[in-house]
Amino acid sequence: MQTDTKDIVPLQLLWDGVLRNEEEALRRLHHALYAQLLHYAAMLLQDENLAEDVVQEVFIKAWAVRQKTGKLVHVKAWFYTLLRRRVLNQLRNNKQGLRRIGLLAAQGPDIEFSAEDIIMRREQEADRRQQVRDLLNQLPVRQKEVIFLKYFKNLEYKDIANIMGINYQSVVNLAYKAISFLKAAWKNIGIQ
Amino acid sequence: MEKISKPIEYKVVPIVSKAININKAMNEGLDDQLPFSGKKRTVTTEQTQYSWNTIVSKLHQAQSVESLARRNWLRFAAAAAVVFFSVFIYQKLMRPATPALQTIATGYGETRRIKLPDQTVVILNSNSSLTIPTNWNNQNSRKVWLSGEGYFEVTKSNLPGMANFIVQTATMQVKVLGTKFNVNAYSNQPTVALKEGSVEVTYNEQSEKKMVTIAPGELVKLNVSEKSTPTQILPIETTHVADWTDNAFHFDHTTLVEIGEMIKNRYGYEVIIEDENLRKRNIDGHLHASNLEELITALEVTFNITIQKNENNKRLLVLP
Repeated sequence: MQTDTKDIVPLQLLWDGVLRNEEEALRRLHHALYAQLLHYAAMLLQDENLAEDVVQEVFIKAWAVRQKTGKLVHVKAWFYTLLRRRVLNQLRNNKQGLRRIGLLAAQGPDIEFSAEDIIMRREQEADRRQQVRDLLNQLPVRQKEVIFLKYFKNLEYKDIANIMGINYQSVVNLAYKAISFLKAAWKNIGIQ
Repeated sequence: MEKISKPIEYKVVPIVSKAININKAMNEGLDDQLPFSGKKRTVTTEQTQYSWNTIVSKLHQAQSVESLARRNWLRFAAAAAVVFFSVFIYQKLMRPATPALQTIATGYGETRRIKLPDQTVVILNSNSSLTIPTNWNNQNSRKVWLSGEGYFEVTKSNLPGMANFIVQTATMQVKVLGTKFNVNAYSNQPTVALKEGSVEVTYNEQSEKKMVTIAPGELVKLNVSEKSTPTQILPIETTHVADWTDNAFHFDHTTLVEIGEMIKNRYGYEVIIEDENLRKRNIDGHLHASNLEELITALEVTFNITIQKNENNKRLLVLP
């Protein structure tokens, strides 16, 4: 299985395989994307078991709609989009979710960062992780999600725009606001 | 387009490279490097496998008729699948690791010259990427993956111990027999143009596998999607093959809309032409431009038009 994740065939080509009805291609896409999709789902849902269910649904959905979807350029972003939509459905249908729906209706799912998720660029700053986490969690929900997708999942702005269903400029603005806030706050506590 | 840099030696870059992402972020015009990054969460292979097995059984359930016998059979099948997968994984683990791949990518308005270990030279056009195996082996892995556009000068493969050089894109495969050629895979109408030697292009047309061989001075335009026109072979001056590597643009009855498409691919600017007459206007001839600004000026003069550049929403507005 180790070989599986390292054997990085471009995702586009794997998706082409799915379009040719190859279940093996879907399996390899699953193995390539499973960990990161699960992470995103768990961050959005704050529930690992629900996250697992949603990720499974995503792959079943992907297989079901493959022909309707056709060729894909940004395969990863497409799966993230599918996932986010399932998460929203899940939160709307789920009883636990109902408690949060007031928040959701207005601004979408909330993310909570944990210190374990953060790697500081400089080793000696490792103890700053808690502070960074607290700052990140202070961000408004949509800024949080942009930061998560950009810096934790290394997605591009245009992909993030698609995933969150907002336009490119809004994503850039959200990122800009978040970064300005973080930079100002860091100056105060002495992180560069 | 910027000046092509000096030849660089082939360098190993991991496929999920921070450098590439930072490059891209900078291209997007934001200096936003943060002093932290996100930790990759790993999951166990068992967990991944478990997840996949559940998916497979659900997929098959969805496809089958909901009869009891069928469901019992499915249970058996699912169990068999688990056994099968275990054997499969075992075999995979026992086999030597499959070669890892690296990607070299260019941003908008950037080109790069790459020299592969077999001395093949690739010039990568803007907004493109080339993926190659880490452990290059002339005998069996002269295969590269391209998205966007690239010009190739391939070391001959009829030498002993040299595998065929293959360029794979999302929609086609170009098999090379030692040659100079250009592959453009930006759009849903990809092209291959040949300067020297010969190449075999394999692609799917309406899910039927097809192959076409082209000679020097020929350009093949492939029909790989519903939107594109039928596959056709067109003549092209060999000096115009990959003229973009010299910052030249050759136009042959090229419409402003087509030029707009090219600008979008290379520089990331959406070109808006609302005037119907302007959309149909075309051009023959040669332009020289080493970056977007020069190209805009050249087009303004040639077409006698005004082009407004909007940095914020990355748009070019073309006005009569």
